[in-house]
Amino acid sequence: MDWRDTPQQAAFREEVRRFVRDRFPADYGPNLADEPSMEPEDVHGYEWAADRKSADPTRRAGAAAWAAALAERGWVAPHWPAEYGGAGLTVMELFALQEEMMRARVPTVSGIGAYLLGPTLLEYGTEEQRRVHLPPISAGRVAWAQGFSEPDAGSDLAGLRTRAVRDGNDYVVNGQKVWTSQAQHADWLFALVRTDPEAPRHRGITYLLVDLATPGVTVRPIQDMRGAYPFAEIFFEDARVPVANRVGEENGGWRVAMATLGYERSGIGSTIRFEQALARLVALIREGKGRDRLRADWRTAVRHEIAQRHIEIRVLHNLVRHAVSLQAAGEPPGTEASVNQLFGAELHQRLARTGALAFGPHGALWRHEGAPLEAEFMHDWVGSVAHPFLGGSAEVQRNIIATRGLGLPRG
Amino acid sequence: MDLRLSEEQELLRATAREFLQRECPPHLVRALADDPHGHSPALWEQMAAQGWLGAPFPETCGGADYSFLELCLLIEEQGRVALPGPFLSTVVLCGLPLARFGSAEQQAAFLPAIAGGRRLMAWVGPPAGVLEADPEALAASPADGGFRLHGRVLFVADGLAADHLLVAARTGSDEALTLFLVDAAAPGIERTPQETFGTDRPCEVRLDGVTVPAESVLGPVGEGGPIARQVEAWGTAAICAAAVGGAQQVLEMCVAYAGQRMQFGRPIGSFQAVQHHCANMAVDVAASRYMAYEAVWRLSEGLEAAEEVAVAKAWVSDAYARVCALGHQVHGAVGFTMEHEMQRYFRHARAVEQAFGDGAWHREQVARQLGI
Repeated sequence: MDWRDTPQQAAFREEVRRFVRDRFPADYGPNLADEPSMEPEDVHGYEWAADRKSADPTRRAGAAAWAAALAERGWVAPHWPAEYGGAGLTVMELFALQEEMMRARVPTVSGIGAYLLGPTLLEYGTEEQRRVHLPPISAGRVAWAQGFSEPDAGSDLAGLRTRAVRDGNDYVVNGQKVWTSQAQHADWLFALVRTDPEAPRHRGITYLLVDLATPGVTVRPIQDMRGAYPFAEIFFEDARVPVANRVGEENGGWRVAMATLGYERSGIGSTIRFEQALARLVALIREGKGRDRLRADWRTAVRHEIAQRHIEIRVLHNLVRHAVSLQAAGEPPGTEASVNQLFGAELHQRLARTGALAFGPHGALWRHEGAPLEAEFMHDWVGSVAHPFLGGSAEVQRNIIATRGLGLPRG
Repeated sequence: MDLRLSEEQELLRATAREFLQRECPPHLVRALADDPHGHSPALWEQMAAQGWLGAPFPETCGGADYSFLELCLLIEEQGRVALPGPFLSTVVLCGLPLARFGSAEQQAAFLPAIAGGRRLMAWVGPPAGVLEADPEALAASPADGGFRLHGRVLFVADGLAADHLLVAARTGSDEALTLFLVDAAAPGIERTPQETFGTDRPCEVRLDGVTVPAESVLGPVGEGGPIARQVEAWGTAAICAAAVGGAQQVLEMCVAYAGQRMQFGRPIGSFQAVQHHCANMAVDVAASRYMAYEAVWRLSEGLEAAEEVAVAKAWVSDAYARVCALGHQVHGAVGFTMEHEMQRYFRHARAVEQAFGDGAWHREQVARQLGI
């Protein structure tokens, strides 16, 4: 039991920090007026998939340069084998890389491709699929989106109805996906479709790779209650997807999907994001501008709320460290991912509230300019509304902890 | 970085668990609940034979050179059975400061006796969360080449069972503390049990002109403050480890019960509300484990640990109480009976919460550490 980095781990962290200092484009700055991404691992002010297509040429160039710099090191998909453009990092090294990048506030590139689709293809894809799709991801030249949820299939994903009918060398796809993060900025989609409506629900599902430029595919962004467009619905009208783009067997897609969903992100991104948010609040209280707008009674309840948020962030950090320790040792995962996701989501909500309420009525300001801490906490409060249900609802996480973790009987 | 226990550490914990399952079954714990000292001499002797009582002392003093972390693994298992008796008071609060700060003579006089099960001790220091300006706070004034102690301390854990006390008293006009090793049978000492609902057997200790020789001073005169803070740090971290054991046991009791108790034709553990209670408990237990052990590990490594101890105690104080509340809810009426074991953990959690400062007390420390 040891909280310290080994000398090698410490040296690696320093290497990452040096890399960021040397190679992160100075003019690729955060657009802090944008709403934070719904992916808790993302750094506020960046949406790499959108940035690389930005109307602003400097931003486009910055996003491309950062992707190229990471790709050069194999750090877009750091845990992949070098053969596919990765750096073969160990679990601990990957954890350290993610933590350091988050602390440095620099964005991940092609996260969904690197962390979800890539490992899926490494496990279930054909050699040809790996050859075609993996290098563009690790080179930072493509963005992927995850097309799982549908209007009638959220927590109950197996209820999905988007239909795919085999016709020659293609599947003809009709249906709809929804809540697909950043689909409007992505190039490719991995999607679950129903190929056998007669089979038991979990057995008639197929996993397809879909080029979003395919005729018949329409992406329509959805506006959230903050005014941002973090996700989209995707319509399929007789869209033809080559059979070669099927991952795994026909009607064998559920297993592949479970693998995708099982490649958990460690949760270190959220932890650092929360740590930095609370640190900004504490720094303001200690010394900064906007201190005069703290609520008059902040020295009583608010102080203790802030202390409690600090404690809870340390709890999350330790839960994440423990999960990573198990993974690094090759031990089979228990329900740590569910515990961490659940705790992080609910902490996010409490943290945002604490930060906003610290400023009394100023905490309800929506306009960034002139607001204490640029109204970061009010915006986060609204964004955090979705955290306990996007990416696995809190109720389902608790069910999983109880049944798979504790062994309680299923209902 | 690796937050897993090593194989040796797992083995130590498993061995401790087996020993306690055999030698400290629920009916013994229950019987000791009615004992005024809450202490079984027979069990104490067995713990001595196991090497537990001297575990953290050097081998030269009859110990086993356990690290603080290893000692807390034992303490976690003791928490799992809500072990009655003055183990923490004797070994952690008094034994550790003797081993670290005691003179060679003091170590020779105390450590082998503690390790051999012949000495029970209690820490008589100001309890956290009590008004600081206490008019009856313990004070010591020089007298006859030694000192005379006067004053009273409330809520001294295991005060009645102890045959020797480690007393923190103010010497001089400033707040300087001096620590004294005091025979509890000395004239002028009065110990009165305070019946709380916790399991820690607190008592009021009054010292009325108790004279002690100069050799009874532990560490330098007037420099007991840092030692007292170290004792509190050890005690706080150790009691967090005990809480982890207790909370884990409550969780397991709930899972077992919910799996068997049938209502509406199915086990109540198949109902989502009950599942969610258990899931919430599981999160609290997991979180408590790593918060407690981060503090324990840092103390064990001799690292600065004031922050980790404060956040651990703040978290664990509240978490153990939450786990017990949900534990009662899952068990329903049977868990509310005297006959059931749930009440013991409720009481253990109550004592843990109060020891060395509760959640709010430590949140205040955290706020100060943050500089707000």
